[in-house]
Amino acid sequence: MAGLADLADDERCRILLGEVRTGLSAHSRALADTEAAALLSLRPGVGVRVATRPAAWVVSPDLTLGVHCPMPSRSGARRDGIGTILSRASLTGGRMVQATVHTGVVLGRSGAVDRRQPWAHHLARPGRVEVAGRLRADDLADGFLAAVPDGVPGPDLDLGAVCGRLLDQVQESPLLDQRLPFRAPRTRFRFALLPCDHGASGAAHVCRVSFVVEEEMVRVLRMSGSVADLVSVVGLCEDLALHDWLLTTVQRVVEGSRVRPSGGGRLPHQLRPVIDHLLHLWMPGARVADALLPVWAGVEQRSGISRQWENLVGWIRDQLALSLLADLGRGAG
Amino acid sequence: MSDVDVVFEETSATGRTAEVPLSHLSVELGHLYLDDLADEAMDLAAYFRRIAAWTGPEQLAALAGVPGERLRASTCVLVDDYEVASLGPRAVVPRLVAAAASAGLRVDYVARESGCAAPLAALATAGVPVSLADLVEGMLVADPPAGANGSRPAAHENGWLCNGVRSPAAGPVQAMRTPLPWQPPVENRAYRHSIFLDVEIWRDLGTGRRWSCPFLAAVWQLLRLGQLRVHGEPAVVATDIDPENLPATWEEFPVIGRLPGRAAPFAAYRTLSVFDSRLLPVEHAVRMILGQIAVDPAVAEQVRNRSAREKITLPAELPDRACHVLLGG
Repeated sequence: MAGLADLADDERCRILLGEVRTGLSAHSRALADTEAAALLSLRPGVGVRVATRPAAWVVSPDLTLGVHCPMPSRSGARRDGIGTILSRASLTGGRMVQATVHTGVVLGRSGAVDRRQPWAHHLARPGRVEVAGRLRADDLADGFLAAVPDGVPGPDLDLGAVCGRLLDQVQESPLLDQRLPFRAPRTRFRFALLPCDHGASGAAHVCRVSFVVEEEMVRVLRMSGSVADLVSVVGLCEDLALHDWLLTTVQRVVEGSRVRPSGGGRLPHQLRPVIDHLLHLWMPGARVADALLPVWAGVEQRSGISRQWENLVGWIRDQLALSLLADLGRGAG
Repeated sequence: MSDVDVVFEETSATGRTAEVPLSHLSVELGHLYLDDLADEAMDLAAYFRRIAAWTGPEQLAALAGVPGERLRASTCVLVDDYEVASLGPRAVVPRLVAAAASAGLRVDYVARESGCAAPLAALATAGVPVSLADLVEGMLVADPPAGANGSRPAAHENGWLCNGVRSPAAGPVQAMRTPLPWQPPVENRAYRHSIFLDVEIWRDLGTGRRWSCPFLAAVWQLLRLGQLRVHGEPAVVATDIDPENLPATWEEFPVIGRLPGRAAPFAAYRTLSVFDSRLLPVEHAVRMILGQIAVDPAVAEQVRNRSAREKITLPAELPDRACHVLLGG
């Protein structure tokens, strides 16, 4: 039997691992809040959470899944972890759907090697995986962040599979009409937060961040820091993933429209749905905890995603203005 | 320019979870089938006298971990009306209360098992009727066998829950080839040897689900432990009943009825159930089910904070909060 007091210990030496997948909801129009709430009511008797400002945001209750498997590692050290992972789905602006999965890994707990704890021990600590034996935090994080792409199943912890299944489940809901206004990509955003050395001060802080756009649809965020509330870090990653998806999606549409010859100043038809559905949803940092806003600012500054977005939006507005002028010209002639 | 500290919050974005009042101990005084109660020959007073020997104030205070003068304990009886409802509350409740009183026991709450299985109006989600049993099924997180890495959904045999890996079924595919030798089931937490347990949760009758007795008993334990919420509100609230004016049928009886008197709160930090040993298999199953229930973390935290304020040491694991006394014949 473990007392309640030890539940709060070692929160700060946990390693957060997670993944967010983002896509366009499989529906012809934006969903109203009540529709989104019905879509994301994934458990009986547990309501969704809804926020209306600065953009409509609806999030499902957390789903819990038990795992007992080898943990990823770069070195190939095969250490078993056992515990629970949490996942949730959300809809922003009635249009952008996300599935997120995360867990906090506790390394080398004594007693975990010899005998498995009762399962109730793990259910009393939701969102935590305990690892038996020695495994270095950066070895674990590197192994997780370098995980093989989709479709190559291995024996290691597979957060991506959980994430993908949840996004499919939401997208295949009978409440959605499956008529997307345009083709939009699905992005994968993997993240890890490692504990840092100066975490004793008490205040949440993140001291090192690296953000890598790996391949076309995979992004990797690696952070070091000390944050007691891991869910706030998950929220930050969801927000970053959302805006990265917006940028990626609009960029693709714009590139697609640029390669076609412009039809006498007409607005490329591909741009229309982007203007209708996405341009108004750019609100970086809207739901990010104050202590984590510097991470957003840092990523923004380094990767320049806000500047890139402004450029894209400016270009689209220019096209719109040109097409209006052309229409006026035609009307006058 | 001075800094302004601005807080913006939307209440629906944070969610609220109501607390329920808690006793130190919820004491269940036996478990009687309606057939037992219909049996005129059964000596109910003797039945309760055997239970009373285990539920004295000192014993309860010791189990609750508080000094006797501080003890808040409530007593309850669950009437098994789900399978057979041969007798109504008007016939059963006065007899139960009188027999318990003759053994020096006071019954504070009478509940009906069907209340755990029937759809409740307050639980309906988007027009779909939902029962407490549905609610609890949604809280099940199966104990994962070694190798469960998330790549497949949790193995879910329809309506069954176990504590390990089942013996592989010798299906027709294998029958075509060389027959596989029998493989034993394995308990996930086996210590050298397995004690494998596989429990039926529900059975589909075509017309709907029939929930199993152990699963409803697990729902009942969760109610007594104050763990169930519906959209943040207590799933069931005890309703006062008038022993002089009881309904004829159980459908008209509240899910949890409170008898007149100064009863301590129905739900409690811990539960004690005193049963005939014929209920041992059921309670084994109940404990296994409780060990695979993930409660709302907000509820868990409330109970943790309150027990700390009361200086009560409480195990984090739900099955460890349920005590049983099983009486021989």
